[in-house]
Amino acid sequence: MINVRNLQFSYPKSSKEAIKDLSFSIAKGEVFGFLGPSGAGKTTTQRLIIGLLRGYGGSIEIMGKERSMWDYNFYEKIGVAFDFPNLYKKLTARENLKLIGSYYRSAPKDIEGLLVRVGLEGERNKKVEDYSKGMKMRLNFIRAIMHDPDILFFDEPTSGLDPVNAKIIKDIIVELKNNGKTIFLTTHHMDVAEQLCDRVAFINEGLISAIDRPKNLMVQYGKPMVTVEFEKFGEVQSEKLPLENLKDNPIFEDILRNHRILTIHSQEATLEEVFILLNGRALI
Amino acid sequence: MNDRQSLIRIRKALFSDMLFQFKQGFYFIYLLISFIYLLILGQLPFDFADIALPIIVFSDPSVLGLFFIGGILMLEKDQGIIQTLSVTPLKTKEYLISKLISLCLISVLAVLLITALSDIGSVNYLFLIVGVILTSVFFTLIGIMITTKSRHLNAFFVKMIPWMIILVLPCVLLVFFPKEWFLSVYPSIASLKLVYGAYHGISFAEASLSVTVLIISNLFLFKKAIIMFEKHMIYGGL
Repeated sequence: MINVRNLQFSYPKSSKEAIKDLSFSIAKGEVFGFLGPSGAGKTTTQRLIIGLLRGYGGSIEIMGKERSMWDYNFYEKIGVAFDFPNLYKKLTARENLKLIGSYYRSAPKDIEGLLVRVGLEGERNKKVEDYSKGMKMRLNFIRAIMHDPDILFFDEPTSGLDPVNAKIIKDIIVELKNNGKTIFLTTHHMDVAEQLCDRVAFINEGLISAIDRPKNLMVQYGKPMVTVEFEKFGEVQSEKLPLENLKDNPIFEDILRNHRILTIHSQEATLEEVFILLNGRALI
Repeated sequence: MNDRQSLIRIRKALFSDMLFQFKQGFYFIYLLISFIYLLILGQLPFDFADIALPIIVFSDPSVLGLFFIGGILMLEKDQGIIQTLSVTPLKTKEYLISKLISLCLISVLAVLLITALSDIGSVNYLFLIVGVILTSVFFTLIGIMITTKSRHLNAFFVKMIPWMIILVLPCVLLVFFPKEWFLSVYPSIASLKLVYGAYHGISFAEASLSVTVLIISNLFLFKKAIIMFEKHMIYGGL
């Protein structure tokens, strides 16, 4: 669906390359996470694919055509939710969705249903200026998906949301994926990436340091150990044991036979740890 | 098919613009200013009002239009609307046409209201409406170009001043050389001549020259405004 090859880009009047040499592919129906700290090149890459930045080197093939060859019809097929809610402040949620939705050939049919889905049905006739940040983010999210696009670009979609509303958004993203939509997600929230993404790419200083399934990265860069927490003589104790031949490990055998096990955790790395390991810096 | 879709999008954008301008209070301000104009005109002796009315009518789509387009675009930019619209099928050209029509409509309505409620003799409404439309488009396009180079509303006002001087000050030449036809090659003078002529008479040849100058200027500015808007407000400018 998206095929990026040797992408390079520098901002005008800047001698520094914002994107040095990026290559990656995103398949139809895939949720692809683009992870990196601020200034790594996430948003620049997204803007290049969307077409809001021009003059790139390399190639961005999207829906079978080079990005620079697409006309405005491209925007009928994609939906974008920026990291900051961009809405008419003096208008209500319904007015915002109706006005912006009216520019699409396939005008949104179920605005009410979408408002209900993100818990804004009671606030549909309230001016957006009276919304909280979380409410604006939810409205911004449904604005991006209301015209049923094939490819979706979400920039920090759960930013500013409480856990309940973040879950609603994440559930919708999974639903969109199940309906065959392709999703390009930029974030620096590892839990979001881990829960939603089929594959993630780590980007730092305009270069990709790794692309893989989150689980693969976490296992590959983790320790092949398991931590067992158990109760011994009324006290909580723990042991770190190698995963290899665990069943033959006498300590493990003793714990299994003679003590009450509280937790068992394998020691795969977190995505955050993998990122630091590969890039020598944290995500935030 | 594409032209039809384009017209549909312009119609939708126009509806959005009018709703936005109404909700942001622009129409109320316009009404208030028109009312103040009428009060001032009512206080002037007939001989003065006779001259003041065309000047007020000229200032409406020009000076006020410039202020308004700056305010509208800056508000849209601050609220992120321009960024949102840049990822919809609405083209820059359609977006700008809608802005031009919305400001033309408000200017024409205000001018017709002021003229109708003023005690003035015969008026050539065709020249008046054509003059106001061409003037409104000209100054709105200038305003769009200034906005693309302004980060904030204050910067817009600062940058607007030299443009006002360049465009409006030469109109004073008409006081000294009212009959010089070649002054009409200057777009703002062409505007004033058309509007003034609607109240006090203008030859067909002179009106044609003014209209031609303004149409050519507007077409050139429209192309330029699209390029500047895309360069500074959409591609990498947000």
